[in-house]
Amino acid sequence: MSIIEIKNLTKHFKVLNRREGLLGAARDLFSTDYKMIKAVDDISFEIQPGEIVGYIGPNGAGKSTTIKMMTGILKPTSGMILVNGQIPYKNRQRNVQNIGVIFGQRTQLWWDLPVIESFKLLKEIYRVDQQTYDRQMGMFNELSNLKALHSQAVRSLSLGQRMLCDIAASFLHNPRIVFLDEPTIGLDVSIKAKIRDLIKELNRTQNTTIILTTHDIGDVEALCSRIIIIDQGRVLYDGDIKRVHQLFGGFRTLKAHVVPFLGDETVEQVRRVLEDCYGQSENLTVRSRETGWVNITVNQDKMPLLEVLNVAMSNFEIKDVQIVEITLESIIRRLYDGALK
Amino acid sequence: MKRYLHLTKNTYMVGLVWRFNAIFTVLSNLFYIVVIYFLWKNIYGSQATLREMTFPQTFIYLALTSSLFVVFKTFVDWQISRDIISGVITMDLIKPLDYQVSVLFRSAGFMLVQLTLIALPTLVILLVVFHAQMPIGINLLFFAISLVLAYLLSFMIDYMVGLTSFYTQSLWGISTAKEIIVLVLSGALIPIRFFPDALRNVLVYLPFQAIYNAPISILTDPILRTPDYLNMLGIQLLWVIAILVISRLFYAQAIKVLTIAGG
Repeated sequence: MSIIEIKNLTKHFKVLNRREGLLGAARDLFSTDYKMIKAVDDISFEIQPGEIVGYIGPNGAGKSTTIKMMTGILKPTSGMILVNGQIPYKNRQRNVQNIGVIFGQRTQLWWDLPVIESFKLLKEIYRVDQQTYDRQMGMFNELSNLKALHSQAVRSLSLGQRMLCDIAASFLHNPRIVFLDEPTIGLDVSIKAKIRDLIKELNRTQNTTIILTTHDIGDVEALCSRIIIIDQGRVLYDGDIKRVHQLFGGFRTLKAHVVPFLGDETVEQVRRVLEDCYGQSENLTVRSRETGWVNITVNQDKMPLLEVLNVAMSNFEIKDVQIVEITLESIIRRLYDGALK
Repeated sequence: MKRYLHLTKNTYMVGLVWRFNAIFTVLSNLFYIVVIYFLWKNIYGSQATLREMTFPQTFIYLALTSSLFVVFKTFVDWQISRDIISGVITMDLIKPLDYQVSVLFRSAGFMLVQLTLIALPTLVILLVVFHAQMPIGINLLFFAISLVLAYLLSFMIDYMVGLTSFYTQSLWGISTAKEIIVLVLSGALIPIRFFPDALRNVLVYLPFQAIYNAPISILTDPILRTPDYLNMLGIQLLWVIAILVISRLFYAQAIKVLTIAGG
C-alpha cells in the first residue's frame, strides 16, 4: 500500500496585482484586482514505504507548496492527498505525530540551550519511550558522533553540525515519513557527504520513507533511486533516476577562459572550429554566459572531453579551464525540449 | 500536560541564560518605583488619606502593579508576530501540540523567570526599605489563584494581538495601543479607586482591571473580606472563559490566512 497518495492535487493562491509608485500603493489598499497563481497544478503520484524520492525543480516550481500540503500546513484547493492513509490538514495534531520535517533554512532546536535539551523536549512532545529514545540517540551517536555536541549551545554550532542535529531531531520519534527540504543548503562538500550518509543509513535501518527536495543534483544522485521533477506546478518527469542519468549523465560543461575575448565573435569562432572537427550535433553546444568565458557542453559518451579541449587549445589561447557538472536547470531545459519522449 | 510543562522548563532555562536582561529590568523597575514614591508623596501632601487610601497603601499598590506588569510582559505578541511574518510558525505547526497551549507554556517559562528574578527581589526591597505592610492570612491563597487567572488574561490578550500579524505586517501600533489601554484601564498606572465613580463602576466589569487590580487588591487591601475576594475571582474567571472562547475562534479564523492563502 502506498504511504503517500496524491491525485489531481491543485493549489491556487490569490495574489493582489500591485501597482507602481506611491499613488499605486494607495490605490492597492482598496484594490480587488486579484490574479490566481497556480502553485501546484494537477499533480498525481504515489510513494511506497521505504522509498527515498527526490522531489526536485527550480525555485518557485511548487515543491514547498506540495510539501506543506503533505505536512498538513496548507489546505489543497482541490484534489486528493493521503499521507499514512490520513488527510493531512484534518486533525493536524494527530497526523504530524508520524512525520518528521526539516526545512533547511530553519531549525527546530532551541537556540540558547545545549543541544541535548532540544532532544529531551522532543522526547516529551512525541511521547517517545525511554527505550526507543536511548536506541535512537545511540544510533545517532554511532553515525555522526553527536554525543560530542550534546552540551554545546545550538547558537555555537556550525551550520553543518546544526543540520546533523536537526536531521537527528526529526528522526528521533522514528516517524514513518520524513520530509527533507534542502537539507544540504549552504554546506561544504565534506559535511554534505556526512549528511547524505546519515540520511541513507537512517533510511536503511528504519525503513523511513524520505521525500527530499534539493537543488543539489549531487544529493539526488547519492540518495535517490526515483525522482519526481516538477516545474510550474506540473510533474515533468516521474521515474527512475537511471533513465535521466543515462540521458544527461554524459554531459559535462567545459568552461574555457579565452583571450582575446571578442564576445559573440569568439563564441562563433570556437563553435566553427569544433564543428569542423566533430560535425554539428546535439552532443555539442557552445555558448557564453559571462565575459571572457566560453562554455562548451559535450556528451562525454560520444566525444572525449579532453580531446575537445585539445582541439580548442590548439586553435585558441586558453588561460584557464573549469569543468562544470550538469545542473538541474539544464536537465529541466532538456526535458522541455522533449529529450525523454 | 507533562509535554507542555517541558516547554516551560526550557524557556525558564533560556530566561536564566539571559540573566543580564533580568538585572537591568530589576534596576529600571526599582527606578520607576522610586519615581512613584516621590510623585505620590507630593500628591498626598499633608493629607492622610485620599479616596480612603493612605499614602503607604497607594504606594505599595502601585509598586506591586508595576512589578506585576513587568512580570507579565513576556512579549508574546512580538514573538507570535515575528514567527508569523518570518514563517517560523510552520515549525510549531508540524508539532503534535496545540498552538495556543504551547505558546502559553513557553510564555509561562519567561513569566516565572521574571517572577523569581524581578518580582521577588522587588518585594523584598519593598518590605525592607519601604517597610511595606500587607494583610497576611487567607487572602494569600486567593491572591495565588487570582494571579494565575490574571496571567491567563494578560497572556490571551497579548496572544490575540500577536495573531493580528496574519492580517497586517506591522505590530507596533496595535501593540502600543494595547499596552496603554491595559495600563490605564487596569489600575496599573492609577489605582482604580481614584477614577470617577461612574467610570469605576464600568471598569470593575472590564477584563483589564482583572489583570492588575484584582490580584494586587486581594493581596494588599485590608478592607476586603472573603465575599469580596470571591466576587473578584468570579469576574476574573468569567473573563478568562469568555476571552478563551474568543481567542480560539480568532485563531481558527486567522490560521486560514496561512492554510488557504499560504501566508
